[in-house]
Amino acid sequence: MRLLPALLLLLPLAAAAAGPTAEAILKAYDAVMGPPVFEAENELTSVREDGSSRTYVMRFLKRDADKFRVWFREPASVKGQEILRLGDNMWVYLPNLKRATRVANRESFQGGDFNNADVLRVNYAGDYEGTLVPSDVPDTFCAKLKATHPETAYDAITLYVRRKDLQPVAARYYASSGKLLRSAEFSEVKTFAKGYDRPAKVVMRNELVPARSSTLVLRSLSLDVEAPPQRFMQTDLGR
Amino acid sequence: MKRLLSMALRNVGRNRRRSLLTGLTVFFGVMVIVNARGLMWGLQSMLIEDTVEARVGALQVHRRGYVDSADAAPLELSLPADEPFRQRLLAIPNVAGASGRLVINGQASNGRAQTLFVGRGVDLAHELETCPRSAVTVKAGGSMLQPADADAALLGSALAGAFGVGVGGSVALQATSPGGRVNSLDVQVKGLTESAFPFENQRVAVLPLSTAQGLVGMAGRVTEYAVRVHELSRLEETADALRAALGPDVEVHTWRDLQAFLRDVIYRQNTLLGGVSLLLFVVVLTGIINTMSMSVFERTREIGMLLALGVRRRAILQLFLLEGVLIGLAGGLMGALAGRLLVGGVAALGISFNISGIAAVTVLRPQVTPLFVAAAVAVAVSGSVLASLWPAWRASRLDPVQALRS
Repeated sequence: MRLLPALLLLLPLAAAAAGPTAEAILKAYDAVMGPPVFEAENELTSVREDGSSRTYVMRFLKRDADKFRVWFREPASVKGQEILRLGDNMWVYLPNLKRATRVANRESFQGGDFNNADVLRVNYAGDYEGTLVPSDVPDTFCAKLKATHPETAYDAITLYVRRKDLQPVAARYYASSGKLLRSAEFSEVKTFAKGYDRPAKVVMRNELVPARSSTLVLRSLSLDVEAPPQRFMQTDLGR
Repeated sequence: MKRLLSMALRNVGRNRRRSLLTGLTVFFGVMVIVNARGLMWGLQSMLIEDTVEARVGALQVHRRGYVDSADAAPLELSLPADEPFRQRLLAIPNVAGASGRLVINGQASNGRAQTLFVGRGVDLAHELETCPRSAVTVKAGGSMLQPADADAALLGSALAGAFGVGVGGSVALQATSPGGRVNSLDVQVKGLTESAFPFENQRVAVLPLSTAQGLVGMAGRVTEYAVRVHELSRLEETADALRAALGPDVEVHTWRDLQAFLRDVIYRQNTLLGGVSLLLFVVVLTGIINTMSMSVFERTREIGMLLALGVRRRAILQLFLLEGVLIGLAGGLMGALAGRLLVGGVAALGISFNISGIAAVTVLRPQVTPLFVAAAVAVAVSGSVLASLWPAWRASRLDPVQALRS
């Protein structure tokens, strides 16, 4: 009878060995990739199918799931351009016209192979139902995500995270038809703020046209920022 | 009056060569105008038919606000794709057919390259009754989509060319649902389309409605209805009836509103033709003035004699006007007859426009209305009167003594 308390003591250890729940992985992903408010400086490089590539350096400020601002820094041709996005509406400010033009809402993030949902509206715990499956990649957990409502960007995602700290390693994104649309690789985990680590580099490959890919490199990121509501108004463009 | 007429007739016959020459001027003028108008009308109706019967439909119905932002193909502004809604359209007088379409924007790729495309999902069960010539644009070697087809497409020839894909090949189409869901489907290319409109060739893919709906997750919805009418001449009143029946949430546009480019082309053609006709009219008029002036000049002694015999000055005026009318009427009638016959002959033969590679041929058939032919004759006759007015007046003002002495 003395064995029982000892066994009870061992139970949590056994659970730890089996790994976290799928829900915990989704929540960890949201916390790492989609903090509610942040300001960052990125470098986005898109490689086209003809081999040409373009690199933009931009600063962006995000608040909530659907508000963000972009200020382009480089190259010189787009310097001074700004973007404001509020929900489904998007405006581009062109400095030489000194005017903001409303643009059709394209799902592509800044014309690259990222989807807006990959960068801005990260809410996997709310949008997907996760199931843990055996991973075929060493030192990772693998979760299969299935959309819980029709407004998610993807129908299904396969997500790989590191065993030791649940940082994302790779992801595969599927359409409703079952087709593989994109795949991502996350690397260069860095500490950007106290207690906040995340991959600094994400390579997103367009699986429909494998020669196309986009790389997002975070130069800096700060969670401790002020993002007052007036920053997310049309009148603030160009200031 | 009867005596005056026989005198005028004899005068016209007396200088046969000059009368013939003047008559021929009128003859050719009227014939050319009738034929030019006939060709222009034929060309325009060919363009309109190509647009209305092959692609656009006579009228289109959308959710309010759609056409203003049609370039963005807003999927949020949709209409039900069901039989009750279609029947509401068909219930309007003069409506001959209606078919739903879903227009989507997306990306097409073949694994190596990717480009933007505009997908037109068409209700194949009803598309042909709305746009009977829609199959005509399919190039030889391919075939029109059939109602049973799924995951199939007709690609614009240049769009397909950009991918190096041909009939039987496949492309991956990617599009995003109104809620933001990305979807992708492999579709088989059943045919390539060739159109006179470059945009159609470079960007458009025609898909079965169900395939387009599946791609953007919009089962049971369409963004537009194309409507065919029995009589194009009653287009505006049919559009008004549709507006009244469908209420304020829906907008109705005619092909003229939707194809502003074509409307402007037709307007410019008509303006040009009007200018050319006016020029021709002036030339013919000058010819008549010349003939009549010569006639008065040559017949001065004769006019003096008539005046000396006691013929009224008014009768002299009428005589010369009558001569002008006779020449104008003869030339005009002959010209109208010859013009009408020529238009009819060319129309029966048809001028074929074989747009490279398309199986069916577009044929230009000149056409004129009887009213236009009658108007051309009327203008020729009144022009002749106008042109004879001054020489006739001068003849009637001659001093008999001076005239006899000359």
